[in-house]
Amino acid sequence: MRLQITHMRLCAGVLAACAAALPAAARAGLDDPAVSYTFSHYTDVHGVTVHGQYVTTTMRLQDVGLSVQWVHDHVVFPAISAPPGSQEAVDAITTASRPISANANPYEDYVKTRNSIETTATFHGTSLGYYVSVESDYFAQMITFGYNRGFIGDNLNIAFGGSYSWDHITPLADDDTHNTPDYRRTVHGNVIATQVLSRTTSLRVGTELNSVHGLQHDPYRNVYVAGTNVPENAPSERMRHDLFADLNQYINNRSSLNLDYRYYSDDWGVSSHAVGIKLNQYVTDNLVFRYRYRYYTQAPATFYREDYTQPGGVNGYQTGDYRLGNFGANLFGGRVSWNTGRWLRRIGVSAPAQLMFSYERYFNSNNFSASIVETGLSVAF
Amino acid sequence: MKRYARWFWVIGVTQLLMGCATVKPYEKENLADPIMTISADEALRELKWLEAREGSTGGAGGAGGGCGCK
Repeated sequence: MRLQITHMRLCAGVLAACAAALPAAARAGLDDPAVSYTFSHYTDVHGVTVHGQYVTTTMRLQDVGLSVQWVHDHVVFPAISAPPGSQEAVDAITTASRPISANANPYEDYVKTRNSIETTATFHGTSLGYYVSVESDYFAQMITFGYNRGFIGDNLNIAFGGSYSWDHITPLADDDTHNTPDYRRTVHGNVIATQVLSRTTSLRVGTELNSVHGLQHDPYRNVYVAGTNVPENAPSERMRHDLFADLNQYINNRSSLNLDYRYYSDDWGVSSHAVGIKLNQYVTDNLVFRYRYRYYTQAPATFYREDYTQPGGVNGYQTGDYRLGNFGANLFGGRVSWNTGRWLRRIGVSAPAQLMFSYERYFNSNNFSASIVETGLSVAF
Repeated sequence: MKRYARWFWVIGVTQLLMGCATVKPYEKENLADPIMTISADEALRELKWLEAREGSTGGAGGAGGGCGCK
């Protein structure tokens, strides 16, 4: 709790500094400065909670657009609640996806923090970015680039993007696995076309490719294979591919309908379909409600088994990760956003601002469920 | 599944060609309404926690940064 208060104070300080600095930036020749803050609270049926804080600033220096985003995640894995020494506790410790050693007592909450910064510069449709993320056992860096151009009177936009990330993984002490430092490299590419179909309709289609090399299993988790527990092991290469489409339709009663679909497949055998629908509706000139639903279904990886009965797993691979299994999921949610308009001017703030609150409920066919609450404030100076 | 992917692209390209009738900038008032925009930040935030719960990725139009949650 003390940590959270400290982080809230830190975040409030960052926000205050941004709020103070951005008008000064405007005076120094930087145009359109804006800052936004989003707080997200995630909790699931296993008792895992994640508090995420996002601070984003954007501005322009002549023709160059600049953005910086800072993210702070505070993750709490709950203590194992089974009686010490019981079979239930032994199973929980064996299959835990967190480090457990003398320094990480399984009967106490395990707390993990993550900080990341991403900076992006854009110039006439070209963008370059750098990302760095720090955790106690994970250090990641990424460079990104993108280019987009409009055609046919800006009714068609074609965008290309790519990134390369290199991650260093240094697992913490864990009594029942023998881990050494490892790495992961990811090459990403995407092509996206957005077409205006009419005065009220737009369509976006795209494809993405991710080539991942390196450690791709949980270094702390063991799996029961033929009656004994052995460390999880997954292939070190994975080629991931997806196709997606978004159709946006404006409706005359000041609402809009968004339909989206994504097909995903990879060379581990996982394939999935995701369909979603969002309805946005103006309630007043400044108040917008959004309702959404998403359905997801996936086929399992070729080496995933509920029970591994043969020694050696499947071709030497074994996993306890349900994300590689066969399941379906549903997501329902609602969001309300409010443009403060003249209301803030009454208390002396002339900058346009938007407040947002959303709640989403996620549940899948493995009896897993989670709730996600987000609230945010955006101010443009 | 390749057959479905082919149809996906055929439909997509057809839609693009059908859309070649240009809409003038002054006719894009509804398209520019905030309720018609797709927030990249929101999509990437959602992708991050969904990747930690599902075996797939993508659809946000960009790579999420590396983290130990995936």
